[in-house]
Amino acid sequence: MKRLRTKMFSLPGELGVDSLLRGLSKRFIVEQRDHEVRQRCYYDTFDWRLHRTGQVFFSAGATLHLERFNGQQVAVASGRRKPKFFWWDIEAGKLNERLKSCIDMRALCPVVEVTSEATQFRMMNKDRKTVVRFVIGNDQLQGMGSDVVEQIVVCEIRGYEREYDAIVELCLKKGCTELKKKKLFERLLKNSGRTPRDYGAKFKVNLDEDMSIGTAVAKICLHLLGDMQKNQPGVIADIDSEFLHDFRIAVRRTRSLLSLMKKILPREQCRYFQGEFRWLGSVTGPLRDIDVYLLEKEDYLNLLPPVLQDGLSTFFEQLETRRAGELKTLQTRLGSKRFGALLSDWESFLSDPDSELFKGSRGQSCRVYADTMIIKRFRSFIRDGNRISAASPDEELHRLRISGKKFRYLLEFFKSFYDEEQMSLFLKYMKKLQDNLGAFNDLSVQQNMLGGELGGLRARNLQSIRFAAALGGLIALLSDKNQVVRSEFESTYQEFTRPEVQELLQAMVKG
Amino acid sequence: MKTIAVYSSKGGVGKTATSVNLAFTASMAGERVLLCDMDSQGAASFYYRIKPKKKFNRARLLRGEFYEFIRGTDFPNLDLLPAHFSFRNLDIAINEEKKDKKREVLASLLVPLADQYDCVILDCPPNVTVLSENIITAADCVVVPVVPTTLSLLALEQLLKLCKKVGCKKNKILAFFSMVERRKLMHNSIMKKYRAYPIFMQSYVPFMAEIEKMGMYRRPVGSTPRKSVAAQAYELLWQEIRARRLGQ
Ligand SMILES: Nc1ncnc2c1ncn2[C@@H]1O[C@H](COP(=O)(O)OP(=O)(O)OP(=O)(O)O)[C@@H](O)[C@H]1O
Ligand SMILES: [Mg+2]
Repeated sequence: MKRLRTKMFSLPGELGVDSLLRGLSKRFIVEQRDHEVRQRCYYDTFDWRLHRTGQVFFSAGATLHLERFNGQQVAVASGRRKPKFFWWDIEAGKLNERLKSCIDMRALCPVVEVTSEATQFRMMNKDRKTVVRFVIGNDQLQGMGSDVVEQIVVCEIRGYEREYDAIVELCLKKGCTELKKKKLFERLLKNSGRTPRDYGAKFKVNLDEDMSIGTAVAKICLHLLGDMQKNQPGVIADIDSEFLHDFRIAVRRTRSLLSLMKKILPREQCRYFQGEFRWLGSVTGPLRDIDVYLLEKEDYLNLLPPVLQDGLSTFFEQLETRRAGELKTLQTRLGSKRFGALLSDWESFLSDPDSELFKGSRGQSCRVYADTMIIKRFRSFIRDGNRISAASPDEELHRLRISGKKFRYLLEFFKSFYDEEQMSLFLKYMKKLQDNLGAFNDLSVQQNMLGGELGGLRARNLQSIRFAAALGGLIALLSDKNQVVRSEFESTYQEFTRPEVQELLQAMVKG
Repeated sequence: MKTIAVYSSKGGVGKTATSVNLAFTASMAGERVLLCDMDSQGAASFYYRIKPKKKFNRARLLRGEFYEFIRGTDFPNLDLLPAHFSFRNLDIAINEEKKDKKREVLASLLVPLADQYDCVILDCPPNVTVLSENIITAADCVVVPVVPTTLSLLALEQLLKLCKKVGCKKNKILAFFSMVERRKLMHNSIMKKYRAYPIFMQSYVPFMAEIEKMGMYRRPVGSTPRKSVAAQAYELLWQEIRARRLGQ
C-alpha cells in the first residue's frame, strides 16, 4: 500500500495565514481544532548515532518519538523527558528495540529543546468528512526568543489523494516554500550552537603531501588531544561507558605514535610524555575493566544455564559498588595537577612555534618517512606472524595483536597520503586478522579476570559457592570458545599473507 | 492479523452498529484496523462519512485490486473499505468461481493486508449465501449480535448449522445480546436462559438512544470527548472478544 505523504511549508510572507485559509475555504469546509503548546526535547548520542542514520529522537509531553529526517514515524513509546536515556530505560517494544540496534550502549543526551505551538485544522468535504489534516505551528528554541521557525504541515489521509494535491498546490501558489524536516532540525541545531557529527570515534586527519614530520605529528596529536578533551567531561559526569572508552583510545593512539616515532622525536620530551601517557593509561584502566564486565553482563548470563545464573547476580551488584569507588578515584585523577600539567605541556609542545618538535630532522618530509615506516613495520609484523605455529604459546599471539594494532594505527595516522580505495581495502584485509586476534585476546583476558575472581574467593557462604560455580561455568565456556578462535588463526593469517595483499600495500605506498 | 466478522442472517440486529463501534474501540487501543463494509447498503461507510471512489466495483474487489480504494477515517489507525452498490451481487459473482476455491475467495483477498493491519473487521449483510460461507471461512472469530427474541435465536442456530456445513470449528462463533431492553420481560427471560451457554459473551449492549442517533451524528459513539455508557459497553465487548478468541 502507498505510504501517506506529508509536506512542510514555510508560512507565506506578506499574504499571511488568513489569505491561505480563505483560499482553502473556497474548496473545503475549514474547521479549527485544538491549539496545543508542547515542549519538545531532541536527543542524540555524543557521537551522533541517530543523526548518522538519518533519525531524530525527541520527547514531547508524555511520549517519546523516533522519526526519520523526513518526518516519517519509526516508533513511539510513552515516557517523559529525562536528562538522558539508555535504550533499556524505555518500555519494551518497537522503540526500545530500534534504539538498541542504533545506539547500543550509548546514552541519548539532550541536544536542543524546542517549544512548539500547533493549531490543528480539518479540511472537510461536503459530508463533513475530514479529507486532509492541516497544522499551523512554530518551533521556538528554548531560551532564545529570537529564532522562531514557523511552518505549515499538510498530511494526506488515505484515499483522498486529489484533495491533498490540491492543498499542496494552493500552498505553493500562495507563496509558501517547501521545508525539509532535516533542514529544519539542522537550523534548530545551528542556532543552538551545536554542529551535527562534530564528534565521531573514527580517526580522520588530513595531512598535506609536503608536510614536515613535526607538523604532521603536531596535527595528529592535537586531534587526539581534542578527542581526550571532548570526552573528558562525559567521563567525569559518567554519562555512559563510551566516553572513557574513546578517551582511552585517544591515549593509546598517542602512545602508539610516540613509540613508533621515538627515534626521530626529541629524546627528553618524548620520554617524559611517554611516561605521563602511560600513567594516564593505567589510571583509566580499572574503571574500563569493570565497564567491560558490565557490558558483557547480558552475554555472560545468556552463556550460563539457569541454575548457574543466580551466582552472578551478587557479583554484578558488587561490581556496581566497586565501580562507584573507581569512578571517584578517576574523577580525582582527572582533576589533578598532574593531569592538568600533562595536557598543557603536551599542548605547548605540539603548538608552540619554538617547540623542539619542529626543529632538526623533524623538518624532513613526513610522507617519505611514513612510507619507510609502513614498509618496515609491515615486514616485522609478517616476520613475527610467520614464526607462530600451532605449538606457540598464547603470549606470541598477544604480541602479534599488539604489533598489528600499532601497525594499523600507523596506517590510519597517515591515511590521507595514500589512495583511499587501496587503503580501505588493505584495512579490510587487516581487520579480519585483527578480529581473530582481538577475539582471542578478549577471551583470554576475560578468563584471566574471572580466574582472578575465583582465586580471591573465600567460601564463606552459599552465595560465594554459587558464585564460584558460575565462574567455573563461564571459564570453561570461554576456554572452549578460545580454542575455536585459536584454531582459526592459521587460516586467517594465511589469508592475510597472500601475495596480492602484500602487493596491494607495496602499490599503495609507491603511490 | 486477526479477522473478525460481525454476522447474522437476521436484519436489523445491530451488526453495523457493532462493527462500526468495535472498529473504533480497537483502533483507540492502538491496533491498526481496517473496517470492511461488505453490505451493498453501505451503512458502515455512511457512519464514517466515506463514499466509494467512482472506479471501485465488485470486479475490482474480486481481482484483489482494492487497496487504492481503502480510505482513511477521521480517526488515527482506522481505515475503511467502503461498500459499493455492485456488492449486492457479490454472492453471485463468487458462485462463478471454481468449485474448490469458492469458499476461500474472501480469505485469500485478505491475506496481503497482514502487514498493514492488526485487525480486519467485516460488517456483513443479513443473508445466507455463499458470501456468508466465505465470511465464516475467512474469519478468526464470528461475532453474532442476538436481540433477545426467539427469531434472533433462530438465526444463531442457523449459523451453527452453516458452520457445520462449511466444516469450520464452532468455537469461532461468539454471540452477545444486542439492543437489550431490560424492561421487556421476554428480553429478561431469554437472557437469563441463554447467558450461561459458553457461546454467549457476558457483556451485552443495551438499547440506547445514543446508538440509535448514530445515524444522525455519523460518528462512532466513543469519539466524543467524554466517554459515554454506550462507548463503555463496546469497550467491554471488545475486551471480551480479545480475551476469549484472539488469544490476547
Ligand atoms: N444498541 C442499540 N440501541 C439502540 N439502537 C440500536 C442499537 N443497535 C442498533 N441500533 C439501531 O438499530 C438499527 C439497526 O441497527 P444496525 O444497522 O446496526 O443493524 P444491522 O444488523 O446492521 O442491520 P442490517 O441487517 O440492515 O444490516 C439502526 O437504526 C441502529 O441505529
Ligand atoms: Mg448492517
